Amino acid sequence: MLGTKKSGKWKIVLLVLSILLVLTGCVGSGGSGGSSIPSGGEQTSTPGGQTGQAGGQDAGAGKVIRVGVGSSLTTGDPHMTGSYADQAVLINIFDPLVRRDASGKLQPSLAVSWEIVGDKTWEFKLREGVKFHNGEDFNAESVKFSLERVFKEGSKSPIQELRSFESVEFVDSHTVRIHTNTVDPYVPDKLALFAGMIVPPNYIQEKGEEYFHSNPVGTGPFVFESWVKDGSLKLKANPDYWGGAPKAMGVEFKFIPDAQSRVAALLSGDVDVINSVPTTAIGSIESNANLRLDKADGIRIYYMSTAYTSGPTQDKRVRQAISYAIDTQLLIDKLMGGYAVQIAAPVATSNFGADVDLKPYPYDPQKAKQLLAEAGYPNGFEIEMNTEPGIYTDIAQAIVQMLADVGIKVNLKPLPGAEFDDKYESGQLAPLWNSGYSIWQGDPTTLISTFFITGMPRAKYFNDEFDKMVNDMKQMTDADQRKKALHDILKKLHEDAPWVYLFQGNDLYGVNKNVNWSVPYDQLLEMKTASIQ
Amino acid sequence: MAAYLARRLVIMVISLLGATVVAFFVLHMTGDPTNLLLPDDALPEEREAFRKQMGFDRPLIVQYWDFLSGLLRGDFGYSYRYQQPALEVVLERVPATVEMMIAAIVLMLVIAVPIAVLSVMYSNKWVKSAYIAVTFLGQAIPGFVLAILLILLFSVQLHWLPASGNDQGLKSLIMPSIVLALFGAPQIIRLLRTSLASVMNLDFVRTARAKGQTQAKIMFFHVFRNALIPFITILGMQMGILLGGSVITETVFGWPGLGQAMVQAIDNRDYPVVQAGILLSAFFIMTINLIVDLLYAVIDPRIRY
Repeated sequence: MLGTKKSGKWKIVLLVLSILLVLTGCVGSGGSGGSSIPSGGEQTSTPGGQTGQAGGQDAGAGKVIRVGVGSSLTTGDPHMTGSYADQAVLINIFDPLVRRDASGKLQPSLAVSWEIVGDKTWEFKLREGVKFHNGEDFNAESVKFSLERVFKEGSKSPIQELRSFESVEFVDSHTVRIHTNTVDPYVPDKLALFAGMIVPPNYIQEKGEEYFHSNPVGTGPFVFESWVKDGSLKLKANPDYWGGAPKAMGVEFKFIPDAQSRVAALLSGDVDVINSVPTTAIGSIESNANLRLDKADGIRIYYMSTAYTSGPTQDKRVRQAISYAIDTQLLIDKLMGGYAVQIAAPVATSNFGADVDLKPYPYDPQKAKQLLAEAGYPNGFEIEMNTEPGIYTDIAQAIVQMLADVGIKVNLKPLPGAEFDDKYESGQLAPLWNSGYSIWQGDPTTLISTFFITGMPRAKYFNDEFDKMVNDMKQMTDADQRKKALHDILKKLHEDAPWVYLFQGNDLYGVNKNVNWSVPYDQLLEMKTASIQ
Repeated sequence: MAAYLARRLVIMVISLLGATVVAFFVLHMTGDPTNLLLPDDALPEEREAFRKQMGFDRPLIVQYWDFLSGLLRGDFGYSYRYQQPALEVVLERVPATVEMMIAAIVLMLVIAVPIAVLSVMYSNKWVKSAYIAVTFLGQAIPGFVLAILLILLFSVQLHWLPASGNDQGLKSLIMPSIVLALFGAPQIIRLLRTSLASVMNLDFVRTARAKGQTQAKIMFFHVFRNALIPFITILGMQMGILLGGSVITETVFGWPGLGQAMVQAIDNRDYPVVQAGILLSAFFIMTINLIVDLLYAVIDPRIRY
């Protein structure tokens, strides 16, 4: 009696559980099959209908593109954020003075041309006939106001790049001169995003800074409509955009921090595009008949730091041995789903100077052992390593195994994110540690000065000759000369191996097949040329 | 009554003070947010200057005093991340969370009360099955797993409901409230069932039965009211659990509420926002508890303060 009662209970529990699992289990295999195709079509037409009410007259001209993004917008003010993810969204509302193209070259945007006119003076010619969304004219005044907003004493902006700026001189209505306190060949580069975004002076003075944070007005291809913080940002097309009206009727950014939920939103047709596709979701997107996986080379490089103030890794041969001992291709295949490319130096493929003639260290454990023996460690040694949560821990664990094969015993101590960050910033991590770095500046100079120049807290590679090479390069105003110098610097970094340069991770986007867009090469979710059927 | 209320309010203020200590010191022990606010290549001296400007270089106890005296003026500080007053950031998110919690509470009651009542009144197979299914599954499946299963089923597979966000009214509300409700329902069912069953055995119920009243009438006019006190208590406690549960639920469902704002603020070390969020939540829970205690006297005339 009791027995049957019990089994009856379990039957019900099991039944409900198995129904849930069976129903949801269909997703992986059956998702590409019949059911999702018609319903997917239905889904995308619904929001089109909704926007019809908002946009009205031009029905059929385009629809709203819905983009699911991983990190939510913190402010509508491009000068009050140090987050690249914010710029990636705000680029649709604001235009920078210059814009970097896929090959890392600077192209005109709100500035049509620029040149160096004195040792410490740059002159920018501005585009004529551009208006802000509120009707205000774009001119030299707006540029002076915008730049001073960032670098003037007492500025609330977290952006520090303009520290070399001294003043902005109004030459005529569409010409400005920027005076710097040192020779700064990077002035145009620094105006490609963040500080280079131009904001409307009259609007801000009238409505106040705080109002501007949540009601942004720019010159960009889309006009601000509404924003629910941590929810969504709605933009509508700017038909008078100086670069030509966008094809889509609008863009809606939905902020979905959880990666699995973001993928689910794409699979269910709630959004048309998502960024930061986790490697675990590649399969379910590729196997879905409505979706495709778009890939860009990416700007994030993954590395392990080996140079240290004391211990065996002070020796260049030991560092090289570690580079030879790591099977990077295996890491790429197993941990990155194959979506990464090996690198030979701290530079991403789209960066200035990426055309340097270098090959990654091959996987060669024999050579590694030989170098270790030469350095006086024929039986290897013991060393500590730190890592941070996420993919970095997986990479670190694999590396520990690989180094064990050549006799190096690594004691891995994974740290919680906040603790890792603190020790990372202050340079207190173990002799070995691994992380990643996004070279969004389009040029590896910032990275090099942060991690390899004596005196910076994170730099443990002490080389006076190298410091001089970098400082000299920073003074060069001629681009060709500077590139050559940068090549030499990268070659030196390859040879001396203060880092193990692992790979450059691809940026992965899940995209509905009815969306036409150019895949962002720099993670900026710029939608001005995108369209949706 | 008035004396009791006054005493409770004093205790509440002391508890809130305790909450400020925990919120402030635990957060600040993890370091200051300078590194997150400044770009990577900021020079050491720039970091120091920034620390000074923001006041992070002062002793913690001084910073705490600053924070506390600000609170007395209703000033929770300024959000580093959103560039607006922290209290404003938090209050903006409250409606979304309250909406979700109300939906969850209503759904929880709709599920729990009938199952508890019926399982006391009848012992047939279907009632038992429902009782077992809800209590077992509700407690056995973690909220975030259930959330993902529901998303896969209703959004990805069937396309009935949006996978995230709160911009589609009732449709957006369904899955988050199911997740929250199923998590809290088992406790309510068990407790209500026990307390109903114990009242069922009391003399006055037998008397009512002897008078020839129907089962339903006995249940609703006699038993239920007498079983209400433990029920109200657990309902009050559920509010706290719901508020905690909403953090995970909001993250999974991309719900722009208090929970998600807190998670983001912690990630970004936006201390003023975290502190404002903690204090607001603490205040909310304490108020609920106070209301529950006062309700006892309303429900049960034997209780006096």
